[in-house]
Amino acid sequence: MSSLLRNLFSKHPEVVSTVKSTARDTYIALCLTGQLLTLAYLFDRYLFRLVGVKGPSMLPTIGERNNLLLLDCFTYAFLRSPQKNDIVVAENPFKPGHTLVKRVLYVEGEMAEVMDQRSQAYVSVVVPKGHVWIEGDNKSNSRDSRDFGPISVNLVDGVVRARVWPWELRQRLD
Amino acid sequence: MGQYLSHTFFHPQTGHPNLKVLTFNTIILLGIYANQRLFSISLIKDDSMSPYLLNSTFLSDLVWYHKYSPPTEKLRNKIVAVRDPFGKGIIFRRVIAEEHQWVQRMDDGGIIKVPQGHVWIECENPDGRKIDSLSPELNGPISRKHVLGPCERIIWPIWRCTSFSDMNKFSVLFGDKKPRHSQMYTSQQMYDKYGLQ
Repeated sequence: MSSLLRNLFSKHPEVVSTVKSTARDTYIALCLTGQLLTLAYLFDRYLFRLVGVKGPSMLPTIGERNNLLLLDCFTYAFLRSPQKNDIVVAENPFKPGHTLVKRVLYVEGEMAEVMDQRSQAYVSVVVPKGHVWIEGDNKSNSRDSRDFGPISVNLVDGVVRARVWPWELRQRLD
Repeated sequence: MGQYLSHTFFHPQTGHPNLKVLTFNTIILLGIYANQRLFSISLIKDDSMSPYLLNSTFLSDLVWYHKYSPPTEKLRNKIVAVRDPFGKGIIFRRVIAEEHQWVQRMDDGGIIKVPQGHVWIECENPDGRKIDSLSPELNGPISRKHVLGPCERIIWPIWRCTSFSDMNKFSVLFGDKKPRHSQMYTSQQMYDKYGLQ
């Protein structure tokens, strides 16, 4: 097989140059594709991205269905940690793959008041280091830190900066 | 500046792209991607997993671990790399039980069901923990999201290079004091024993 190819290439040098240039073009295309995909991933993770959310837990700030939000990942990766009243997108600690969109109410060191299910009384929970207390705006229909306690800042993906879709309802800093 | 860049990426005489620079840049970017998504290395900072993973002033172990672990991967009894939920470091622990399994705690004997989406982790050597490592109250369930992935190898120091799959040879170093772990029960065993579901 290789002797056939060698025979072909020695008799037809123009085939060799075409194959070489095609191979080089393919290699360049593959390298550029790899670079582009990596840069897109880094952009997605460390700069900003668009996330689609739905659910009633942030009414009336974020509507119940078909919302596209601009998520800023840069702030929490390089600038600061979550502050009070930030709307954040976090990963659900109980359901891998699902996200939570809630508002930060208390940061580390502060005390959160929550109704304990077992004793039916209000208890104070100190938010530990590296954690935040998140709650949805729609208190009656939201599963948040009142149910499962403070969540780690490592699970928080980024802060919501604007609603992009529906276009008629676009606004900054929900 | 523009001329410097164009001379770096393209040959000045022919105008063809400079393949060496292109390959170098691609390798750098793919390396960054692999470090973020696939695997990474980390130093050991305390003795909580001795004698499997040792710490010392000059020659702490350097562990190569996977950063990607699908949610369905069985991690039971493996040493995993865990993101510290209280800060930014990486900690190594052993997984005792996965979600929906039951654990009988070794300190007070209470039986707890591991919540959905969580795993029960413990260290081998509770006395070797540093102050800012995961405290004894949290030798317990942690969200699966914090668990990065199983550890692959120790790559430094050279005389301790072993794969994690044949780490059991270090267990002879325990002698009489084997590490105690909480007992794990599956749902079937709990049902057979106590009728619990």
